[in-house]
Amino acid sequence: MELNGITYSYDRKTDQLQGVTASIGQGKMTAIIGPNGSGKSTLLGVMARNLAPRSGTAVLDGKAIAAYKPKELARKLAVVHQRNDAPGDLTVERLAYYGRLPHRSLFAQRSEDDEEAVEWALGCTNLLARRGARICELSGGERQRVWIALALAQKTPILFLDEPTAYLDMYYQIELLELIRRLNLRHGLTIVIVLHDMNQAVRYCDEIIVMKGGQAVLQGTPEQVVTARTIKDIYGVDVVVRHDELAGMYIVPVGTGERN
Amino acid sequence: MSKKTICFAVVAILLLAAALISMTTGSIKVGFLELIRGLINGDNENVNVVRDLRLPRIIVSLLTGAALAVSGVLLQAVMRNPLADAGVIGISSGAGVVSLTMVTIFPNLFFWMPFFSFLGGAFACLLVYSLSWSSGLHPIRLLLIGVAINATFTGLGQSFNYRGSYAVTSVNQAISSIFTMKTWEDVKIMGLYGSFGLLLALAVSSWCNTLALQDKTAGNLGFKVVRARLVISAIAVLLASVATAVGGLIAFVGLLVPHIARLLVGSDHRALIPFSILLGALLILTADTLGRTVLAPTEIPASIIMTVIGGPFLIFMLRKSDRAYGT
Repeated sequence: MELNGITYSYDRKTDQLQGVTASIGQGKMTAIIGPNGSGKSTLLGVMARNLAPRSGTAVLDGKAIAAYKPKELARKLAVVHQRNDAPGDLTVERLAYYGRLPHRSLFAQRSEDDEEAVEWALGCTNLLARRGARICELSGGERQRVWIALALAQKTPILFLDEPTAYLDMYYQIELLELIRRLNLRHGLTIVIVLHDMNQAVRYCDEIIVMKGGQAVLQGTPEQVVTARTIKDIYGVDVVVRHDELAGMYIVPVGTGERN
Repeated sequence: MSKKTICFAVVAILLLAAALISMTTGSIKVGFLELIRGLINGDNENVNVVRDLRLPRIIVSLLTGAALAVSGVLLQAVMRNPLADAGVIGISSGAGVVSLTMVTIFPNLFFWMPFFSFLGGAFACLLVYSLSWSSGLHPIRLLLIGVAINATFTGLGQSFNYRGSYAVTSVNQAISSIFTMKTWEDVKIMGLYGSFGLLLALAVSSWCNTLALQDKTAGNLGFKVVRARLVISAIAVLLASVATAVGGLIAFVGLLVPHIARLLVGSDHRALIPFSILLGALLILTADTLGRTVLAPTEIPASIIMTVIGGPFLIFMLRKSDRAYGT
């Protein structure tokens, strides 16, 4: 997907996105990072066509996403939002079946393709054993995986995730990121993920897009993007960048540089 | 047998029983066999009276209850708000006021009453939507605006009571909902528009399910959220306004029935809507039958009986189930 000069504003006074130009590599796992309010989720919203940009285009497979029909786009890209609602008594399996909506006509019955896709989605997200459970009975980590299962059941080549690790404890965060990386490596899904944790972005992603003040200020591999200087510029935090045999590159914040 | 099936069976049987009891009791009592024979042959004086007066009344109550209950379900789905109800947010009172005004000014347009009713209901619904849209249909704001609109229309409606003596009787009938004097003409109107609305509601049940997801999520599934909202709202307004036009103002059914129904059969609209049809019909029929028999020959309006039984029953159900819906 190519983003050309995307400008977006909620209230027509200030622009939350100011001419964002970036490209999402096919088959890559790309992180969008940046400080609070830098426009990460807004950018993802425009890319998912939840928000209509004021100017600029997002082009997918040679066609502006604005020109796609709703279901046509839903067969190309799936989105997992940060906050998700569903009736508590819905079962895991039934929620996953919602992912088949873009592939079905209005009153059609479940097809074999539908069943296969849902099996696959539940398998990928380790939910086969929990398929009959109600949403209200699930743990936080399981709940987040159900929404990923729904997106996977759409069988799209592209998957967007908006801070999927928010509100999860460390185990569930890592479990989820490993799951997403597996989807990327084994099944070739193009993934765009909004993350807060720089180290997670470095460890799991091929590319990083850095947002600041509504602009994409940097794009590149983790090694290109993450240096002590860039982090200081973006977040105003002094960090040391280290390499470890097992963990690879990682950063440790050492302070904001202000005197106590 | 699943809990759902049992609930459906029990309510269906109760409904049948209530209809039979309602037909055979009242100021004229007829036995069941006598009733059947009389209906077929048409030679029994008492049964003819029951056919002309009691039967249309029963059918109108059944359909009114079903229509109000389902309009509640639909509004709750479309506004994503468990407290939405045609009575609470002013759709019924809007329908009442507009139809009343039109019929008072043009009395010969009586058959078009449901149509004016629909216009009034749609107008109220439109007001609620447009005034709470900027808040992103924020639940509390939407309700406050609905309550304010309801108050306005209710006030307008009540002011008719204090006009000249001519309008008083017809107005009372329209705003306090007594099912007396319902004729086969009412059955025709209610049957035509009401059943049409109910069928449409059944057809959009899976749309209602999809709207339970967030708008964004539904949109990313290629679901046309705005179109679904418009269609479902229109069906809800149709049901509520027809019920108001024929049955009068009955508050609370659209709130009570869907919530009890959710506790019993869960939040899947494919079960919830048909179940609400049965339960709503049962509730209003029971209320009307009690209303005309308990203090006979005086009648208590169904809407009053309904709230008196319904309120405590909802509290009882809520207290009994400390867990999520449909458990």
